[in-house]
Amino acid sequence: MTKMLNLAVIAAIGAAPAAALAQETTISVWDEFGAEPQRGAMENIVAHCEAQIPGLTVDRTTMQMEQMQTILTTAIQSGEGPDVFYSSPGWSTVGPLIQAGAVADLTEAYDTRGWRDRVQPWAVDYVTYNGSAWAVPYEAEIQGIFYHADILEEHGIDMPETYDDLIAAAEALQDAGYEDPIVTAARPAFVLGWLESSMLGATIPVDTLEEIVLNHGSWDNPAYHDAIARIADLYERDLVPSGVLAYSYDDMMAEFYTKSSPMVLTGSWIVANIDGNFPDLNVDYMEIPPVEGVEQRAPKAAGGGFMMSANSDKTEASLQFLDCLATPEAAQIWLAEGLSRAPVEGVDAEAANLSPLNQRVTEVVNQPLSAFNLYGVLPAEVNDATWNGIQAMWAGMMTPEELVAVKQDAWQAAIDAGEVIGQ
Amino acid sequence: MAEVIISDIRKRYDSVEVIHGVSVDIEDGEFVVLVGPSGCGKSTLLRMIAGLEGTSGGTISIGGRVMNKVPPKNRDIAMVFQSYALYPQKTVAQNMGFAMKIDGRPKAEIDAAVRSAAAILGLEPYLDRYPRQLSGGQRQRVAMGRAIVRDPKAFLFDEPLSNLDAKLRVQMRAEIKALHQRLGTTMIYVTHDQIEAMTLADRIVVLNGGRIEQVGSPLELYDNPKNRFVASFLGSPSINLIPARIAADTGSAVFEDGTSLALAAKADNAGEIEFGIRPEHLHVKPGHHETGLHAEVLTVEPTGAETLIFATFGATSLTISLRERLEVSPGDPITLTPEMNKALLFDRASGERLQTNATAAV
Amino acid sequence: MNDQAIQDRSDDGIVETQAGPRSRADRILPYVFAGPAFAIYAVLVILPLGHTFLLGFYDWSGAGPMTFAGLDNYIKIFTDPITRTAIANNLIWAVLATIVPVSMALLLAVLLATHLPPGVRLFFSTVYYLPAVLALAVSAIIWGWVYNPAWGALNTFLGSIGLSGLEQPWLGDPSIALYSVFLVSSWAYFGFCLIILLAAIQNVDPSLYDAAKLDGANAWTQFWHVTIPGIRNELNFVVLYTAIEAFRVFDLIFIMTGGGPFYQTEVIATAVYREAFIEHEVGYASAIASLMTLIIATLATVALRWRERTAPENQ
Ligand SMILES: Nc1ncnc2c1ncn2[C@@H]1O[C@H](COP(=O)(O)OP(=O)(O)O)[C@@H](O)[C@H]1O
Ligand SMILES: [Mg+2]
Repeated sequence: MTKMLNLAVIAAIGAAPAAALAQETTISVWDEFGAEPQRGAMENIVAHCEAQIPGLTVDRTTMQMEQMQTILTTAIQSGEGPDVFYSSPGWSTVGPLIQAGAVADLTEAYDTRGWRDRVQPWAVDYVTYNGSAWAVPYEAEIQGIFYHADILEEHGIDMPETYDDLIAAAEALQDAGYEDPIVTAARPAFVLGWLESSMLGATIPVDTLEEIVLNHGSWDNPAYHDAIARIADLYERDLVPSGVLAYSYDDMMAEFYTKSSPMVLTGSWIVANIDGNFPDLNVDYMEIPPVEGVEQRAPKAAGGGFMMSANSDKTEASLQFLDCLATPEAAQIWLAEGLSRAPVEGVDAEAANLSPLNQRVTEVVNQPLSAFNLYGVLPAEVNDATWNGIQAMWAGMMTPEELVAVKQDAWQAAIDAGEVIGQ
Repeated sequence: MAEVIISDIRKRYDSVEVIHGVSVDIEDGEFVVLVGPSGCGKSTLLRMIAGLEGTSGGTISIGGRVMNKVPPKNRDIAMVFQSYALYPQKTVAQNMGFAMKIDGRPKAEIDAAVRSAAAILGLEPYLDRYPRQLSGGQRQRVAMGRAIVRDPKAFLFDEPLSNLDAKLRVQMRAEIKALHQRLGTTMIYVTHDQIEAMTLADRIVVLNGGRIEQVGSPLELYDNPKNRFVASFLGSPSINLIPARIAADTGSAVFEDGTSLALAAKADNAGEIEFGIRPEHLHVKPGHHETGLHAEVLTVEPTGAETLIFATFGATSLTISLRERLEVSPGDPITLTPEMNKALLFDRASGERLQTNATAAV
Repeated sequence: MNDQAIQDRSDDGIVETQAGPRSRADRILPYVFAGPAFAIYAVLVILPLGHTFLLGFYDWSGAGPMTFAGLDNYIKIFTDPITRTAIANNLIWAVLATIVPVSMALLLAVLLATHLPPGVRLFFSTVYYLPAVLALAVSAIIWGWVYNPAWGALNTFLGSIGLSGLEQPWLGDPSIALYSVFLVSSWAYFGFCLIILLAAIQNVDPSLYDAAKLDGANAWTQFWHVTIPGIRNELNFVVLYTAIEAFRVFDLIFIMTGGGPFYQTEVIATAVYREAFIEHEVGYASAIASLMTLIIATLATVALRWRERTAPENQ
């Protein structure tokens, strides 16, 4: 299969008319929306869908994502599992479940129920593995640099347009007294994955990256060497904290929220927190700006999506619920009340009355181009080896060349074991 | 060997004084027993002599040298504890030789000292055993052996026999006495058991509440106690104390039932007294007779050599010890006649012994 | 063991046939009573352990098909550099854990037992025990603040006394991160050792110290010849228990460093977790877990054996 990244937006929107169920049906749904504002928003969406689909009752259970991941496999295989569950659809999380046959293939539903017209194409791609679609993505995320626009403005720094601009801006900020102009973290290791994904989006042309990821090419490739060298360079230039390997995600965000660091490498999930808890901060978003010859694009991800258990015996009711989720009405509630973006067409961002930052992020999400979010597309052991390798490289225990070799070895091993997308 | 001189020694724990100025001179080679009820301060006194407890006043000198500030190991004394205090991980020989080993003496010298001490105590077969492999009596013998090895100026014993059963206690008592006779070293021995005190001591120091009640040879104290406490602490069964008063006119002792007995000697004051008479100084006749105290038999305990009769006289319980046998049963009336020249009279309020002509003569 | 087996055993025993039916019932009864407990134990403990051990022979992601892999997983334990780091770290941890917190506790216990009035002793032992009462997760968070590279108390303190040269990313430097976490572990753990050892020391016959003083022993000699032998049982227990716990260490490392940076604080349990739940190598994780079980079982057997030997009735 090929995973198309560059598709025109299809504006055709048409919700399939909901049909009443033949009999009263209760489906069980596991999700992670236990905290506001998402909790209430999801309750309202469920109420909306129950009203749309006579005979449907949704029985929700909320739990932590980690908790769900540890019990889901066993639960589904023993037949105790939910009909519908919300999970990260990234390959590294859901790949083993798919390979185990625990997740229902939604391709037919996508084709026959008009979902392809309603779900944004990049997001459909994101949940499509080996030719089949597995989820209704419901949390569109982008990664990149969030920065304090007022600090840049105060020091007369324009928003960087090129990669060199970014480095110059960071050095200017350093001269102005910001010891750590860019902050990232090493714990959990996947935080460094956001840096890697963003760096790849800024430095490796689309075709080259697709060739490696989708056609199982080699990472031992000048473009990837260059990307890794730039990551090494950030540390050597001291643009990230010298103690970065000791930083947890929370440490990193604390540095950013207290304005000790003007820029942080993270993702759009922080927007709700800023809107809710730090409305006075003047935060803006940018991709890592591209090097010459590379088109600007942000790594996008479906941070989560609704999936159907392969063992569900209430498929029609479950599919109708998924269908309802993939309507602009439901997605509108999700944005306006849950401040979360479902990659569904036809949502009116203006009407949702969003903060400027949220508006900006929503715009970028809606752009057609996307870079790979590596968490979503590579097997876990390849990512784990790379992100730990970045730590080793920064600690001086590994050269950039060795890091590339480590990644390539892990990649080849995963290909040989049949664990990568496209197999 | 040395004399131990304790003068006006005091001990305070925080603000509570538990030893209130005690003075005793212990002669070189003397066997002195400190006896008194539990909690009276015997151990504290002994531990101050050993240097294990500091003093709060007064001086202790051993062999002519004031020891108050001298650490225990330099006082040249050895101590035997109630719990034996043997090092459980060391053999008998190692236990006995430990002090010399710390002192850095050559192995041959230690071995010789251990062997000769073991020979005195019959411990040779056990030298390689561990304390846990020995009986209580053997352990206490090892503890004594450890003391002997050090060839000290004085031995201190703190209730060394209290953990042993009655029979062993009698046997070990004899061994300690024999040891003292053999070594001739000063020994200071603490016990709450008056029989041990009586049988072992050259001199007994009776302690009560942190004060000395009386000091003297065992028989001196037995025959001539200074007060009711000493009289009743020494002797088993203990002395009978019968409430009475001394009639001002006749000078006789008048008991609560009105019986009047003439005293052997005139007491120097009159009034409420306790009439003390030891169990062996009461004579018994079955039935009620004209002269004597009319009592009733409670129980009879024949032990073979002697017979103990427990009786009631009014509200007072009495013990009588007889060499001869007597056919009486519980409930029988009896008449008791005290040997009046052996009677001890105590002031009922103060407990002090009343001076009589007879006492004055002793 | 089933009833028939018990029957057979008592029937062919010479002594048993002579002793008659009452004695046979006496012999069977303990098994009857122990039976249900053993059955529960088998279901809850032995089966999962056996299952884990078997899983180690398969290549399995935790879901989907299982491929028989022979000894591959078990061999990989000793060739995989990351797992080897984890095992080496765990050994370092175990050795340090049986030395540092235990000797710290021993030292403090001696000081508390000998040089303080009881009230003060209670106060201090409570204070020292306090960290042991905290959930490890709480200790991890508190020390995460202390170690924080940007504003942590430790670096701030070092800076304020003019030792900014010693400031470190305590959890971020691969060469010291393990020891930084270990320090927290010791801090959280030594209070437990302390109360056990303190109680043990207070149980030593005080007249042994008196005897030793009269024998001329100084404080050090008393410690070696009276205190240590007197608390031998408790000390051995603490050391063995600590060694076993050391091979189970997980929470602190998981929370404070997640095994990083670059796997340099990985121990056996975190390696098992990472392989099973992050990398989906359940077969390999099972092999490592089996190894860990083997180590712990060996230590536990040593501990139990030793207990048998030194139980008072065998002395
Ligand atoms: N360390 C101490 N602190 C406070 N009081 C003590 C201490 N040791 C002994 N005492 C008190 O001193 C008194 C005498 O004790 P001790 O010499 O052991 O009595 P004995 O050996 O005669 O039974 C007792 O009242 C006891 O409670
Ligand atoms: Mg005592």
